[in-house]
Amino acid sequence: MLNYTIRRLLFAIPTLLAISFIIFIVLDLSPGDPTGNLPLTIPPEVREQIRLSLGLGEPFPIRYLKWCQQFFINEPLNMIEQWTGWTIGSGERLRVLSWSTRSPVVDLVVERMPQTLWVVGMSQIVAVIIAVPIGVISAYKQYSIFDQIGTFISMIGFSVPTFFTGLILIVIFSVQLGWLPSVYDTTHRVTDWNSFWVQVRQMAMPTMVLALATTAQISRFMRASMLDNLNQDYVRTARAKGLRERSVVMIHVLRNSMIPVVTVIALGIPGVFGGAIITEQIFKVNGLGQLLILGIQGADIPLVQTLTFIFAVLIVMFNLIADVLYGILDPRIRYD
Amino acid sequence: MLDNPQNVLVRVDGLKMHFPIYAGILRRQVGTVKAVDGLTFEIFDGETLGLVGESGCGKSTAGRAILRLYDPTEGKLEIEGRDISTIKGDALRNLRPKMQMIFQDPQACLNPRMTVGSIIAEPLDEHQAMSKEERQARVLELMDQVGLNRDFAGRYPHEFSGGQRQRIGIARALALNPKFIVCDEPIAALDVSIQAQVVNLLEDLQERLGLTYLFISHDLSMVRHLATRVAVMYLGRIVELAPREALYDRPKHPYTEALLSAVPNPDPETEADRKRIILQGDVPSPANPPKGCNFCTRCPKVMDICRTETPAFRHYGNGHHAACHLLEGA
Amino acid sequence: MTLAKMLTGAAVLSLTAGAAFAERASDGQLNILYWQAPSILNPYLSGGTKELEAASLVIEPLARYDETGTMVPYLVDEIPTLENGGISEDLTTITWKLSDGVVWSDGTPLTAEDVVFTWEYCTNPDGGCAQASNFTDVTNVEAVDASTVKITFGVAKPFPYGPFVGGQSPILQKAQFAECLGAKAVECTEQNFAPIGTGPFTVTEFKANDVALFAANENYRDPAKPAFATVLFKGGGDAAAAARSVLETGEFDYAWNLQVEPEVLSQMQAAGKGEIISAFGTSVERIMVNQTNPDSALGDERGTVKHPHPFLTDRRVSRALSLAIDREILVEAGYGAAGQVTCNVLPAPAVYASTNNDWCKTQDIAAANALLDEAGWEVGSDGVRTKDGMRLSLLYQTSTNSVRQGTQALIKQMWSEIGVETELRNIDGSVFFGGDQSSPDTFQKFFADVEMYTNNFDGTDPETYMANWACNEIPSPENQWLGDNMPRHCNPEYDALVAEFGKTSGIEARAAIAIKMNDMLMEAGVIIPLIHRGNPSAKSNTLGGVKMSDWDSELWNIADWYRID
Repeated sequence: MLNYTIRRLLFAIPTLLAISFIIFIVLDLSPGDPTGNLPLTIPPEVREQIRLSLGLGEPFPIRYLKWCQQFFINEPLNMIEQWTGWTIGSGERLRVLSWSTRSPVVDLVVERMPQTLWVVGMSQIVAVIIAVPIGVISAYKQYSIFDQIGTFISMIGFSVPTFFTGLILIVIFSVQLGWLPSVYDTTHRVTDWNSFWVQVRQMAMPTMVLALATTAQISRFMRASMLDNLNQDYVRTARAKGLRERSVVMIHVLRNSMIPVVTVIALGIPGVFGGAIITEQIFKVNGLGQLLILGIQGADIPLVQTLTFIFAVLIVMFNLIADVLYGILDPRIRYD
Repeated sequence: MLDNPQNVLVRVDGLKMHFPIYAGILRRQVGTVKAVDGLTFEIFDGETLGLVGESGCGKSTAGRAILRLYDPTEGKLEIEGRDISTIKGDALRNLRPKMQMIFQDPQACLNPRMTVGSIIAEPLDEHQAMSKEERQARVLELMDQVGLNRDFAGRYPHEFSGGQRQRIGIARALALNPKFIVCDEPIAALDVSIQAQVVNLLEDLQERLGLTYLFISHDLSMVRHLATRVAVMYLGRIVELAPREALYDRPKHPYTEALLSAVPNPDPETEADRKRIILQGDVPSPANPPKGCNFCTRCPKVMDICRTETPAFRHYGNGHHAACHLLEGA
Repeated sequence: MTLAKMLTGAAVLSLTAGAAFAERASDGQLNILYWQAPSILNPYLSGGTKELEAASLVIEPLARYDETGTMVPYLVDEIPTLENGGISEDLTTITWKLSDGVVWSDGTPLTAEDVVFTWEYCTNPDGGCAQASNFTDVTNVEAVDASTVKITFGVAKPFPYGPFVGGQSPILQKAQFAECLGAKAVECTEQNFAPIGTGPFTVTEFKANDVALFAANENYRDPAKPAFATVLFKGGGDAAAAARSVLETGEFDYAWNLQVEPEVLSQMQAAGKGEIISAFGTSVERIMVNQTNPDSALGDERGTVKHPHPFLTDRRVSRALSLAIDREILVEAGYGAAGQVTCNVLPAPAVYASTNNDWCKTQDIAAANALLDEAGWEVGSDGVRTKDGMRLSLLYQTSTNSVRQGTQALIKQMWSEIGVETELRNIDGSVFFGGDQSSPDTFQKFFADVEMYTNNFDGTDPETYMANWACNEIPSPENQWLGDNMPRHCNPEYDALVAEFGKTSGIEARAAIAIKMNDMLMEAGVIIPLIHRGNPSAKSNTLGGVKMSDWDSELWNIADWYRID
């Protein structure tokens, strides 16, 4: 398994380089002008100067290699410096700078990470906590009232878009009842129980909106996987052994059913880092999703390039993690 | 059974196992599959009762229903004189050590995520207060009994061959010292070379541990080898039940005759004379069995009465039972 | 202090409760929502409105424009003019004198060097300064002494208030930005995210495209201001959600740029937590009245000055058309708080706004009918007026947009009441405004009798805008239909005024000319102004002192804002 992991990691390097190059080409070819969003009163000469100052005058390969140098060499060195306090070389290195904010992209990402992980990450956790029991009970009592209601709610979760559920929640809980804030305050710091409660309240709605969609997905998966396993012969064996029904379901069926579900959850984690573009907009969480969409709208190529590439790395990594997890959870699978 | 003064271990009386069929948006019940439709027989202590029939005739369902892996629709089940047809929950669970099952597919019936050791140990955990060491010793003892290498206790089922997996299944079934074991086609999924080994193991264990088997199979020659008595099932009902020799030599029911005619004879001389009776048509659906005798649609000796009246399952002497209108007048 | 004095003091305080006389930083936090969040706090590197307005809390120009478009001295004591000698006779230099004692938020004094540096910063060719156009024609900026700055222009500038006036060219601190000249500008993240300023607030935290936190500037020149201790400047979401958070949930005090349907806004306003306010700039929705004949039978010469319009050149007809329109209804239906009735094509700044055309403000069907009768148009059997066998029938075009189509339908109805038949037409905006030479549907070609759209000008000075209706601006095949004189208005008298405008200095004198030009266009009936359009923002009922200005940052007077308890 270790050899397999190392081999996969080595293979990931050329893959990721190729991905970064393709992203760069696509972004370069796509229409979009970083000065396009400026007011019409700014004359074309000034626009041209701005473009030159952003480095757009240089040919494509040079720009790509510069980005590679900045991202693969300068940024890691900078991180090492920050963690250790050492100065490597002169300490003067050009980092990947966003065009719209003129600040290092990696700093922006780090700045956005907490709210994204809090809200989107928590929604995944909540979703798993809700979805697994629902999936188990729905499958165990297939076609019961509980299962029918579960199916109905899942359908809602699947089919109703987050901008709609988000709006409904805001109208109910913020406008009508006034219980929860509709705007997420990213400057809020948790220092004591009181501020923790504020944090919980401001996270409640975006988390639930996202969790509804994820719950629908995972609970369906869980149900299907449980149904698959409930009809297996080994379950009958377990019953014939005279095990308690609880042990039959929780130990035999659930553990085997979790294998594909765990994979689905693991593969969903890069999406957590990708943020939730729409939900972040509705509740003004301003996490990574909003950063990406603003970058795209403003043709902020270094930002979009770097973010997309980070997502690519995460997707490759979590695919590997999912595969390795599968191997650990299912003894039948061997990687050699 | 006056002429057979043996102890009855299991008594089955009018056992019916019907499964509802649902259809439509509201999932209304639109019919029932009569998988088992009225079985009556007894299994004597220490014997092997063979249960034979074509695929889909309900023999596996019967086996599972007798072990109360299903809730029977109707009928009475007794083991050691105790009625178990309606007991539930812990009462049923506490009976499990007495009766066990060996399954057809040794791969599917073992939890792929548990080691052999824990598969065998699990029922001990559940039903017997044993220390860890005692349990371990018992697991190894059982593995010895079924001829498995002790070193393999930490391995997973997929690492074994089919025959070895069936031995695991047997060891697991034996763990609680059961009296009665339903063997549901235990050799059907195995290579021919392995079949004999497993059958010999079963015989061996029966002798040593005094087990009683209900041996479900569609392999008539294997049943002939193992069973003391044989029951033939067709479409959810037993058509004939007799001691082995009587059934194989003098079958009374046309269906049994047809079945036996299909078995190749090891003796080349008689094999040459063997006249096969080829049944016409398909087995009717158990959701919609024919009126009268179940076999009337395919019986080569069908009479008018067969299509209207269900023949009774009667005793015709020497433990020979059958259900056929042909025999009524004799 | 005696007890009696204290009591009177308390009484005064309660009378003016929470008013601008309160102490600095006594009103807690101000929550502002800009749904498009600022990405940087240095307006020289962005050029976007959101960045400019966020930065206006911190950095200031020498003078700002108030809500009427009048200049207000900020870092100086008086606005330089020809009269006070601040502007040279040849109109090529302007000299600003900084106020005494203005200090940066770090306590160091503001000097002329900072102003000079700001010019150098923005005009450095490698810096990519987005506000460079504010320094057009500036040849030199020099510090005459520590508090005097002299700006020299390469040409005569009758309106020399481009550099360092208004939100677009605030003063940067030399000490802070000295290392950030030219190509280095982009690397100064720390400076760009937290510029040091002279304004009422300082930056305490800035998260690009997300949120900014400001705190009251301890060194602000007015010791009683600002009233708020901190400002939370949040971004994200969309315009409707921003409006909701002020008007319905009350989580925010102020929200910006709420281009949302008026009925949605008025519904939210019904919750009673806040109101919609608008700043009116120079945008006017107007109907252009074609003075040339758009008849397709004329072939290549259609829409050119060779063929005058058969009846729209009669100013009685266009006046009747204008009188027949009930502009109040148009505002109510399509614009709400974001629009008001106007009778001028140059409605603002206040000094330039004429009051001579107010006859159009109220609908007068009778007067309109009388005018048409007088002009010889008789009502026919189908209710449409005719004259010499010609029907009074108009082709009315505009761009595709639900508000515009609503307005078209209303006007068609109003015109039918005076016997005018109208055929409506709408053209996709990208075609209508696209300027494609091959398309017959552009607003420049104007192959219709009347057309409707909005136009405006940037800044407060209408010189170039008013020159749009000179003879040489008429679009024609000869100039590839380029030109802004859509109605093809041509009047030598008007052209003379355009020339005079370019030579006149002093706001009053310039205003007099602009008003004269506006009135000339109104009298000629070539433009029928409809609605003065504004930018709506939402303000909480607990927020006082807001004076929205379209000429400068909306938040230009945030130092005067306070909490109403």
